[in-house]
Amino acid sequence: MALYFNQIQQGPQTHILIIGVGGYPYLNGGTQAIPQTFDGAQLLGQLSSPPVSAEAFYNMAMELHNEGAWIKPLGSVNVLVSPDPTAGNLFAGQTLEPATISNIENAYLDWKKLCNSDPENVAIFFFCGHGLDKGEHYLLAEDFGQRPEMPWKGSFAFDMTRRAFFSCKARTQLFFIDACRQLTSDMLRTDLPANPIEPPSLLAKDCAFNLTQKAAAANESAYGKKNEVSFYTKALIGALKGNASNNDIGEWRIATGTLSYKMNSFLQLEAPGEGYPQRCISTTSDTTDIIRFTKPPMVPLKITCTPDAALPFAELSCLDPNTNQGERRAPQGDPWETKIKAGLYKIEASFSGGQYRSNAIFRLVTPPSVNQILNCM
Amino acid sequence: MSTSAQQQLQGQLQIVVDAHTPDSDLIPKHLQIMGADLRVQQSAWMNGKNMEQELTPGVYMVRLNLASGKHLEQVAHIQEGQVTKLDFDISRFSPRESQEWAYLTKASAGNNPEGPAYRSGNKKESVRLPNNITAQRWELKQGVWTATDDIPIKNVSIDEVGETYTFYVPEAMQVLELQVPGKASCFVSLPPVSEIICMIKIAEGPENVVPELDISISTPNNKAQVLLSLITSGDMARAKSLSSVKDAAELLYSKMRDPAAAAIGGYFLLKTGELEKMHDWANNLADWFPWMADGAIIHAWQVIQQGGPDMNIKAIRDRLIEAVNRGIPVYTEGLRLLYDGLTMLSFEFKQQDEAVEQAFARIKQYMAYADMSQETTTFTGIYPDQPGGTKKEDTLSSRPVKKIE
Repeated sequence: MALYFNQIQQGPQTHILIIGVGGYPYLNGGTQAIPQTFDGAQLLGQLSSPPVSAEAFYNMAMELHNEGAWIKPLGSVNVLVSPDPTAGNLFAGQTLEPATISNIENAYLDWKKLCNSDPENVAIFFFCGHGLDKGEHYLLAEDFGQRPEMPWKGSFAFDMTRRAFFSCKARTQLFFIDACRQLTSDMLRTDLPANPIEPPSLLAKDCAFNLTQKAAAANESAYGKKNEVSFYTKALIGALKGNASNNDIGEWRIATGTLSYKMNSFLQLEAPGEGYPQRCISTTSDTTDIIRFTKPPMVPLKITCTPDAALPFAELSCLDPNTNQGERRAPQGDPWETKIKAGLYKIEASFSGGQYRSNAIFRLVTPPSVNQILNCM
Repeated sequence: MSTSAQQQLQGQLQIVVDAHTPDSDLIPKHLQIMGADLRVQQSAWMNGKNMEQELTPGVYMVRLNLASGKHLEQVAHIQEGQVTKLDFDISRFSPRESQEWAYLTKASAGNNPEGPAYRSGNKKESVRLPNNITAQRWELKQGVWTATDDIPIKNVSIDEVGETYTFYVPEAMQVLELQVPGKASCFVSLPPVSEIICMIKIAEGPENVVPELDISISTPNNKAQVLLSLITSGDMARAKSLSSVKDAAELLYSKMRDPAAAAIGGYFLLKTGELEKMHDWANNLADWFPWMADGAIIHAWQVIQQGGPDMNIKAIRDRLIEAVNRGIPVYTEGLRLLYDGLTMLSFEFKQQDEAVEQAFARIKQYMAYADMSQETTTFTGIYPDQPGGTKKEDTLSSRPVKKIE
């Protein structure tokens, strides 16, 4: 078990299993590539994004831990990662444990055991790598394709596995699956195996707070740019770091339900206008808070004027609308870039001379960022 | 301080919601009034056009949330003894008044194609619009799917704005088939209510191909429809604020009037784990509407979730097989629960129970071609009992379905 973080204690905790599979040695471009027999496997190759995405997810988990933001303190983070052959340095200082099917099975069972130790635990599972789907979503481990005559040997049936995990006592269970869900023509002609990591049981009642989220809809793909964090994982990390937070009850919190209904809007922000038709699909039960920030999120705010020529003469301010207290900036030639607490503000440009018109607006400033242009014509 | 003195310190906020149609006023909308720190000071559901609220003087952010996930925000300056009026124009979300219900209640409807938020990519002009679209209704009776030519959609063209239709259908297990030349037919379950509203449009997306259709289905029960939208998107906090457990239980109890709303109430109670509130009503829903798969699924899951050492596995098995024999669940949530339930039964019986394996294989086929983002069960295929594939020239209008026993 590659426990990159271990502060396991008695009492409710958050336990995370992270799996990133980019290197598939037996598939196209792999270090031991061999001819595959079914077209699904023939079309698959190496992925540069999943290991980077797994590392980014790990870093996010640690940042939230360092901020004391996990409502159930972080107990463990177990990581399996298989870099693609061209990958750079990942998880500096850590020994990488490959995401083979046998390592995934062992890590899953170890993680489940940890999660099972207290009903108030939070269980988080993150997978990024190849996937195929025919009603059941199959996730592919590093050694997928090693035995072309038994192509599904290096995979596991995710939906059945997720169902099986309901036997865990942890009342809050989150599964994030960043993988494609393509259906290939020979999958249509084949009965696919029922190969979950463990069998689901009728005796396992659903957990109280379930969020199972897939980065792509059935028969669709999950996207990312080469060597970068995938679009979905970027959106997810942003959401967990504060984009999905609200102050509804006087404390900035993130709930599982918010991650469900807002994730598609976050996903669209990650790749605007680039033509990626990606939409994520969530399965939920009741909702609960998993992250709590002690301070409001600090939101990058950029204020400028139109026309540009007005900016060197503008005194800019960003004020609490009820107290008129806040930040001000003397006239300067560049846009004002600052960070302020999330909230409602009065944003104003005022001029001592008469050549431009002073202007003020009320603006909601919330994560991820706000860019405000004030018309001073 | 006297009550009158307190009132003098208050100002009044008046909210007016402007929609295309009076019917839209009746769709529940969630109003939140927040302070400058974005803490929610007041929260309420609006079931009409107007609302008034007394507030302490100050500056507030007022947000109107719709079940489709869209929202509008405005700033309110409340002054002592004065009335501040805010108009929320929700008509901007829809290109036509006949489609407003879909844009206000369905996340899958996307953005107004004539509005600034529409995301069509940069190849919109080269998209070929599907035409010659024809629809028919399939009804499952006594084990035979039969096509009926009573849907007013014949050789129509559909664009990004789309069209809205109203159907008057019997209470039955039925699906709508949309035939697009050269493509797999799209099948959508129809709720068992007499009046169904349907919007068909090109799904929002950037692909430079013949686009897929987005089909939204609704019934006149606004509250049940909004509840369904919220539980489909996972916005359970808002769903619980709209519908108390008691309200959902009442939906379930109202099955004689509206079995579709009863099913939505049942799914809500399953999601919130309020099993004791279901009493014997899920069993009744399953028994009294023997053509509706959802009742059998909800009852099976009530038994599964109640658990315990004396769990009646035979009852679960019988109900889920019965659900498969009844056809297709009206709601996608039902399809998911049916698949999950049969998965567990298959393992429970070690893949040796022939009827369970047959039912499981049938539902797996639907899962492979279903769009799980839709509220009502939606899949592509050749016939209602044959998901997947593309229809050939000669088509049948009657399809017997083998009963699983």
